[in-house]
Amino acid sequence: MIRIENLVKRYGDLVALDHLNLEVYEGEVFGLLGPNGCGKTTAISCLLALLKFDKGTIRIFGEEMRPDSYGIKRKIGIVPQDVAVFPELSVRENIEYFCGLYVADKIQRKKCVEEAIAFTGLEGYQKMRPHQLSGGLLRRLNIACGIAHKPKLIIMDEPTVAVDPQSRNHILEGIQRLNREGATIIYTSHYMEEVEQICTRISILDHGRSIATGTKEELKRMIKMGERITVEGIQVTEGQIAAVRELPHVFQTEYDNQRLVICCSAAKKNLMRVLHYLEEEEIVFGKIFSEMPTLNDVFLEITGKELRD
Amino acid sequence: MLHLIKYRFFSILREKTTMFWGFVFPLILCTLFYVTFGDIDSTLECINTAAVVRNDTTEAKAFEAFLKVVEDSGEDLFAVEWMEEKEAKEKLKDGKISGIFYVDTEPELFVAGSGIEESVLQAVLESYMGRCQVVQDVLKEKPEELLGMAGQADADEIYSEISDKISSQAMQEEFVEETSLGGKKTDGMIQYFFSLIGMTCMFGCFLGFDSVMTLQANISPVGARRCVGAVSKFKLLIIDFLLICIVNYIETLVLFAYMTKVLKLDMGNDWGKNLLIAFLGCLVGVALGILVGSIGKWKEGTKIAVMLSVSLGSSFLSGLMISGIKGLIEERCPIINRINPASLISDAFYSVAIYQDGSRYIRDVVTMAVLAVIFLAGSFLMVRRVRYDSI
Repeated sequence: MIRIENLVKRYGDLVALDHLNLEVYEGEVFGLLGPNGCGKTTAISCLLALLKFDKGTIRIFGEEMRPDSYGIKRKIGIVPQDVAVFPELSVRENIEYFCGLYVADKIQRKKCVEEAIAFTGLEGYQKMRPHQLSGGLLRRLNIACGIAHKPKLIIMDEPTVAVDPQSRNHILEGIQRLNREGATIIYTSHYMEEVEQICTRISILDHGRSIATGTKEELKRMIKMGERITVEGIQVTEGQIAAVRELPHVFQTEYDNQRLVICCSAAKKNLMRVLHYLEEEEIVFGKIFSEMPTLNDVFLEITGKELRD
Repeated sequence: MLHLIKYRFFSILREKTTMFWGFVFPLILCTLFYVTFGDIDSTLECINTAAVVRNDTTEAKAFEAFLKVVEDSGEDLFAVEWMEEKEAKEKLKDGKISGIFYVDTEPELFVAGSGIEESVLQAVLESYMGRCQVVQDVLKEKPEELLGMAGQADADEIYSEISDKISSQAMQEEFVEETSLGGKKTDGMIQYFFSLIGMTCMFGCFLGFDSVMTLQANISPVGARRCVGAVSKFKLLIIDFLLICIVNYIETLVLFAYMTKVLKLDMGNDWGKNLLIAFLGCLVGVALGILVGSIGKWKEGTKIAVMLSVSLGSSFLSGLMISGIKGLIEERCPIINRINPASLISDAFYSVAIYQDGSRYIRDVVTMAVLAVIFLAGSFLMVRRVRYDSI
């Protein structure tokens, strides 16, 4: 559905996109994950033919994307990072206006608007002006304006920034529902939990480059760590820590403030082996738990820095 | 397409700040102008004065004659009561009169305050003294001409006769009557109202500015959303441009109607020409706003500062704040009046209403049309830019 090849965008000396390559397939929720300033929004702006770029090609629905590609634009919905509505128009009027940029037929448009309002749960707020809405409702309005015309491809640029948990869940559920109804979605975020939750395939961006792309399982398999075991409320000696590090599949340990973190490669019974050692040594502890690696671990291992740096 | 027009129209009309400055503010300013200038003549009441005769020289008699003429002129400017000095001073002390004229070789004025009435009395005396000085200068420098003209041998007699004429003409008729080529009497106050219409047209630039800000992806999120829509940017710009021209035109016409129908100001009777001037004025104002708004590199605050400077500066130079400024510019640097949109608008109205000068009117409207085309061409070229360097 989308193919981006060798995309280069420079702002003077700053390289915002550095030979970016991406491919998005029909029917997937594709996540663009990366820290602030990694090039996510720039990539989206180039994709939408808003920004000039220095090199590369962008093809959507098999055609080259240009500013006057109205046929392609008709099939795209955009939910920008900032709320993009007219403050003087009511909720319903805003949705009608932006839907009207795509749907000329009055009856069809009315139906689309009704459905978008119902989809985003804005039925009770139709006559309100944007300044009367809470942050979460504003984000929902922003989404409604972008999806009312029932686009095949929806591009969402950090739609949950500054949104309360309840509204965030509502938005994420909505995105999954849109996907189930047939829309392909590109979702950019620096919240790895969100991306993990809803995206079927993910590309991790850093310094304008895609450093890894795949399903979340594929991404996690790319790194050494397969399991992280954390023991809290524990007191151990240097010798005991060294002994833990010698256990099979353990490749790293960290001990700080009565908290021991043990990183293991993917293997069965890692937790059992750690528990067995602690029992043997009669080491008392408060709590022990095991976690699978996160996308942050992927990012950390590939780039050497935290995703939220 | 109609729904796009409808909702843009709503959003423009509901933008309170812009509507206040474009619609309400000119009406308020107009009313203030009217209260301040419109009925200024009727606010002056008859000023009571006393005249005290000190001697009967030729000069004193001339001034006495002047005061009598003034009193009998029927202008109700002031009333003169002849009395002794003691009585006059008592009345002045009691506030029954505003001043005492001393009829003497050198006429004098004695007042007890410094208000408007005292200033008027002083102006009257200065006017008389000034005219007497002219006659005295001519008598000193070229007495033969006056003697020859009057056919008199006695200079005192001639002086007295001329002084009498000055006195009588001073109040009963003007030496020079101010009149336009079209035969209508000029009115310095109406110029303020024409300039006010010019300002209202120029305030259309804020409508144009707001509109273009919501059409550029590198300036506003709404602009980005509109740019990625399936309707061409050119169409959206045309819709916005026409709508804001209409809104600004309506604002101007409401102001014009308020001036002519409510305040009963004489703005001329050629409605066709007046409507065309207002329309072109709005076109120039709106196009200027779009042009400034579409200059990509400037920050929004810079653009607003430029707009304020241009719209208010243009209005100032057209005589909105100081009536003589336009005339001064005409003397020193007339090119400014030829290209200043607010000056062109007020001048065109003045040409129609007062001068009835067709060629001047045509020059003004053609210049406005050319300016509008230049501004529009520039702004359309910039706004329809396909891709941005940065967002």
